[in-house]
Amino acid sequence: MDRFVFLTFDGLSRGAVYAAFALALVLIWRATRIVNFAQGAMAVATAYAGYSVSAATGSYWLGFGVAVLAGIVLGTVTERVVMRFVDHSSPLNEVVVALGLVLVIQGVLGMIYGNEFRPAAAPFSRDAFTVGGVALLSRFDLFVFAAVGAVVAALALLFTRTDTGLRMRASAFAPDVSRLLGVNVGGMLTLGWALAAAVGSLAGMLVLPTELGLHPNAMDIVFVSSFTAAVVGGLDSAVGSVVGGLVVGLLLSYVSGYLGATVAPIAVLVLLVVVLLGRPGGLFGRSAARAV
Amino acid sequence: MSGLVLDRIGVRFGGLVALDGVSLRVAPGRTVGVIGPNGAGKTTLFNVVCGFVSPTGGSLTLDGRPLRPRPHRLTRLGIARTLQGVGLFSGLTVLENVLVAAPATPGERAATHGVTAAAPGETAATPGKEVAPHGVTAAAPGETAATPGEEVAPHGVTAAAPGGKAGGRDRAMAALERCGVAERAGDLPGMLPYALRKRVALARALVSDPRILLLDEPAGGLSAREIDELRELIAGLSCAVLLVEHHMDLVMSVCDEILVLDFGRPVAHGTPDEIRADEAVADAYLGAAG
Repeated sequence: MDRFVFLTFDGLSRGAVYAAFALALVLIWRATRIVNFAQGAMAVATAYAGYSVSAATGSYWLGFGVAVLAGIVLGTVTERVVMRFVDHSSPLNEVVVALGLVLVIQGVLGMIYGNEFRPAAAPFSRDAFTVGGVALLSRFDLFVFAAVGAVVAALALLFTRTDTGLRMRASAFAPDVSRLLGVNVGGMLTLGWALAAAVGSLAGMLVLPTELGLHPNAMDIVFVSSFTAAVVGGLDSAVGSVVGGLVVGLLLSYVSGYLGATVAPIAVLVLLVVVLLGRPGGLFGRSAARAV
Repeated sequence: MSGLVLDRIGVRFGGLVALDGVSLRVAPGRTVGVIGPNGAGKTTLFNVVCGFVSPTGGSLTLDGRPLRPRPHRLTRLGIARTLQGVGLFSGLTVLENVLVAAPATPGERAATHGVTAAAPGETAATPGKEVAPHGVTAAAPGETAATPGEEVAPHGVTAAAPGGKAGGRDRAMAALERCGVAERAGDLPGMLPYALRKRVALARALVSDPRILLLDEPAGGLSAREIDELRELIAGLSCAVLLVEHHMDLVMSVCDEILVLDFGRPVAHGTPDEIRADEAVADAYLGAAG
């Protein structure tokens, strides 16, 4: 029972990060119908920037802020300079361009920082509080929950309560009609990419201290898990991505806890296959209806 | 020259002449109809005004200034358009659909693009009253309990509300009320009958307080009774209207002047009575349509 409780909290903590990362994927998918396969690499790049600043200044939080800010900049640049000019006639074009970005970013990071793991410090202790001998949560876990909760709440407010959020949704639905109604669709797309990349950077900063550390490929496995989370929840559903993230986090935690860490990646793939067979649109996806 | 002026507009798609030497003036407050058989270039003409199609010849001016339309700047210039298909956002509620088009601050457009309310032809325009800038004076048809007095009230509220979100919401609701669909504000467009969806689309075009409203086949798919209601709604607008429509009775009854296109060329231009009497029109249009 102790073990179950511990694994549950650990899984929820990891799941929260997957949720944030999946949410970033969903943001871009909903706005542009692109799965941003470069998101992991972009998050690593901004984490390197953040930790470089932390190392130079001695302040973790300054580096944290720089990482998120770098996410906004990198997202903006990626949309304005690269993605805007990709031909949208075939969905494969965007995938190829995104994978190309991954290679470029990881190559550049390797040239600057080298291809070995560098330590990624956590701002809070990762030692779990124990209650009656049962290990529950660490301070860092609490920080993860608070940060992800704040991001989810902020995005929910943005999309449901503000005019900008409404215009972003409208641009995603029908760009041409939105233009006619006076919406700056290009600006909305850029904003969507900037927000998504910032959320991805945040997720990176939250997950890297729990992994082996900084490495150009450090987010690859996180990306796979988060992508699974987004698809399981339904790529069109923000709520689904959060639920999917928590489900994947719990699943990974239980499987590696009870069956062994080597089985965990297989469990993720099994989950993906089962959900896609049962509900191809994801758990929260709306089934496509044909208008008559 | 005030209003929207098209001077010898030409559009070619490769070797195909879509429009050739089309001139037209939409003066403030006037309702101008564009008719012609299918493929005559009516929608292309709209697309030129909206910036979706660049003319290969001729020029556009708005209030005497050269106009190079860009779709997302149109509403700021005071031009709004409805689409031939309804074009509502299926995932947004009726109210949200209208809110997308509601500018953040009511005075934005007027402030940047000169006088709108004092335009000639707007009979009801009295300074200081909210009715005039809002483009509509008459109560929306189909609204059972609406009296003109009640209709005016929400506009006053709108003007008093501080800019930004609350103001936008009020104005969106006022536009829906004007078009008689306010009670469906919380529904998704897919739940509405076609005729009501067209009203929502009209409300969405009206919410930006256009000086010039472009209506692309507003009567398409409507019943005779619904067309009568639409007629009253259009007749009650104080803004200028450019109307593309196949429904002859509607065009003849609401338009001050009519331009007839055939294969992209202007065939006739005049008042409804002149157009009715014009033989070239009968040949080109009525003859072709049977």
